[in-house]
Amino acid sequence: MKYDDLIKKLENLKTPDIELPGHKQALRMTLLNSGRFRKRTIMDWAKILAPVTAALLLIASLGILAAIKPESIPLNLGGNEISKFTSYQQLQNFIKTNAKYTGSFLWRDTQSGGAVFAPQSGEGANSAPAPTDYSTTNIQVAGVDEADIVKTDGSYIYLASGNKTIIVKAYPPEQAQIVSDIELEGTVIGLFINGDRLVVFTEQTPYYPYYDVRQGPTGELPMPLVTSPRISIQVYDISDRENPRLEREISTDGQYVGSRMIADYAYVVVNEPAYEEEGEVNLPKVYVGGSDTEIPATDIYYSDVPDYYYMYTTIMAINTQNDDQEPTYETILLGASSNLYVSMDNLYLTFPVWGTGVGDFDKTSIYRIRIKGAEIEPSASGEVPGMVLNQFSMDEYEGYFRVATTTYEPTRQNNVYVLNMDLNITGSLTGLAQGETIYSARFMGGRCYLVTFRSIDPLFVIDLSSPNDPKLLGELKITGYSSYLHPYDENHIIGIGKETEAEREDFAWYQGIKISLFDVSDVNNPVEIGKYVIGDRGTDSPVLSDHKAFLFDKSRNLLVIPVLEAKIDPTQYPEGVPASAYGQPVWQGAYVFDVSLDGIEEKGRITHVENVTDPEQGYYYYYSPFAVERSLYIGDVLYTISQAKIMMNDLQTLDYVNEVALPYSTWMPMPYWYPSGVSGGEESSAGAGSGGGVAPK
Amino acid sequence: MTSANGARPSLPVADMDLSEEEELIKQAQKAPDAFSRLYDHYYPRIFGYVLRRTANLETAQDITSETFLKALNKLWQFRWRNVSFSSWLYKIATNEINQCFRRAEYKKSVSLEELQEQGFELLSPHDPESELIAAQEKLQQHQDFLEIQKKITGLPARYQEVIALRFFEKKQVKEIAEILGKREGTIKSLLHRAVEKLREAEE
Repeated sequence: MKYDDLIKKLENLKTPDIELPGHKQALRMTLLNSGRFRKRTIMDWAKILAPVTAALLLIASLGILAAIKPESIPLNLGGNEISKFTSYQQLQNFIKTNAKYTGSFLWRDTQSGGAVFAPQSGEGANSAPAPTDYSTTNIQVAGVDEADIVKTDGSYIYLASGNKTIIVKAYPPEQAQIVSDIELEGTVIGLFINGDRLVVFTEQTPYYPYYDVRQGPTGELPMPLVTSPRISIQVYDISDRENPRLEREISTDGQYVGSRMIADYAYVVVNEPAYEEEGEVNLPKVYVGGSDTEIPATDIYYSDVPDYYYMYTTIMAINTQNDDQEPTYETILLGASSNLYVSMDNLYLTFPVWGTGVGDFDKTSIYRIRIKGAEIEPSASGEVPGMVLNQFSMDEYEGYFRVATTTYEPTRQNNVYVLNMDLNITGSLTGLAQGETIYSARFMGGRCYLVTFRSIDPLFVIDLSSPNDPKLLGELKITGYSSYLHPYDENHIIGIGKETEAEREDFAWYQGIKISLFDVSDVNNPVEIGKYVIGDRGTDSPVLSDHKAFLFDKSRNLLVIPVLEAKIDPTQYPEGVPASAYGQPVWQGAYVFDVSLDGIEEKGRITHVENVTDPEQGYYYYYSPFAVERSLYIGDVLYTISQAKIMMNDLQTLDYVNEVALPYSTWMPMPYWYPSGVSGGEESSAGAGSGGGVAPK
Repeated sequence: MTSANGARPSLPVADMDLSEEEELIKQAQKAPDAFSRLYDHYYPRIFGYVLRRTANLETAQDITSETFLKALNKLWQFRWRNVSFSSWLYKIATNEINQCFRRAEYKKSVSLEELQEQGFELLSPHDPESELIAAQEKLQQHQDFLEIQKKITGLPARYQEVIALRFFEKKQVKEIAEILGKREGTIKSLLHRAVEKLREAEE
């Protein structure tokens, strides 16, 4: 055969294109069930179950399983009645009749339990004697504290580190040292500090495979064995910082959804799947002071909304100051909660509602639970079209709940809904930014700011002063996008995201981290008045997915964010650097800016990495313990915090003042599977040149 | 399943934006739902590639499993490589195929059955036997392909790779260079020699 003929033959050869759906599904489960996703994680039931169910449907369509067809669920615009079950049989029948799929577990990295310190100075009830002013965690709603991995009371810094909580005397910086640590069973996912009380949330994760395929009662559906982690809230008396004393503890099985603290009360929301085993439906349990209580069906709330799977969502309240008051809790049978927003008076839980297509969600169900001190009262439920991005997509203002969503069918578009306290929609603005997706949202009083993105970044300004008639006031199109919007003052907003370089009308390459300052005084014509770009493509910051990593104080013109900076070496691209080129990581640490209405200026940078060539410290190590995660200030000292140390610098000059080495666990990427019981790759190592040492247990 | 211009038709799922994919890869390092979406997108491509290289369904299953397990395990390193995610996956798969060919016997890579023996239990009602039998029948219908594929596997691995990537996977030379970590000129001359060698084998 001639050369050219062979080429032709090869080019026109009909090649096999065969799929093995069963193998694909089994492999997917193996991958998702691997240790990779199990470490320091928290699950998002809804997102996880989507592919699982999609796969089941796929298998069904191939005739391996009896077909399971999703039914169209009509949009229920608000006002669902919430009641309690009258008996266990009613609960059992409800789940048997309505749940299309019960149980199943997976994990994702925690979104909660990150931390940062924001502008509100020295707030915090019953504060310990604070020598001076200090920053607190960057929270969404004033007065509603959010748990984080780092907290301060102006004298001490409290840190979550693996299975330990570490208390560090932080101020004055010259005397900084570790004063005590508390070893816990389970990973510390967040802390609150309230005067002389320290609240610690831990998650105990069982280290064994979650999947156990068994035949369901009908012999058709796989029934996963559900083994739940356990969430505990512990309250310590820390009037003696060197000897924290455990005062109370409450736990429940399930997954941490989120927590808040309002005045003396800490609230936590935990999800646990409701599943049926041999005809019996499980009931949630609460463990208080060593004894466990099963929550009777007649104490469980529900509303008659069909879902593919059900979760017991338990909301617990604990008085952090008064040990005589018993913890309170309520359980609601809901779908899988995915986002939590808490105002001073209400806790809102949202979860996606199954759409008609395979594995897609096109509606969001919302529950409002009234909270007042120890009282927890499920109060209203309703629905809006579309999906909610995160807690910043929600807000309560003057008796109305506002929510921004993205709908995907028939084309992507974005919407803002206003609902009354019965969760009936009173007004809406729909069809914004067709083809784009919400990247960030922020409600500020009567206004909503919305960033959507596909190739350039429109910032929308929406007027919500009339709950019946939301109006689009203006929009600004610039390159890049913001993933987090933070109010600078009532007419200016800071945006943090990425710069982009458009390649086509509908496509752009992400570049470095971009900080923008927007002026919205003329609401019809928002303007970008300041801009600062860090690094090249590949640069990243935890702020993009965790607002708690953001430190801002307007009175001090201070903005600090942790950054992993990447740079492109142009000599490697003699024909010009393409927009798609990735930079190499060259630096990690905190970027300190001076932000005012005159613009954004770099003030300096602080890194914890001492020796770049040390593999444990080097920049290629994405999860380096030397990577700065949080920053805060006390008086005139800037504290930057990594797992390996707390570094103190002068807030004005950024001159080095002192540092405290922290004990930390090295987290090495794990081999992809482990037989039962092996957690892998974790060993304790003490930070070099310890400035304090760890107090003996 | 290939169109006249040589491009493999896009999958029934809409192709991802590149910017969306980049974000997804970042998320996939920690979030299983994001990883799941990437997996859904690439599983058919990688499985198809391995099958066309090996013409053996069981081997293709095992190598595909191994490829994704490695990819998941190394995902945290991926972000700093100057190759696309797609090329990176093909690169892992290519290495796995070559290793498999080097071994005297197949089946050294981790099969799902072996994972189960090690304590992993799988959430899947799939019946590997009947699925394989059905797929085997489909594969047997491609006699022309199987014939030439057999000859290709007789060539040195460096020729097998370029032929499969160019003619079966319809990859551009630039992309092949990225996958194999070689210069475009090298790929072109390798391709030329590979086809010459195959022509000799044909005769």
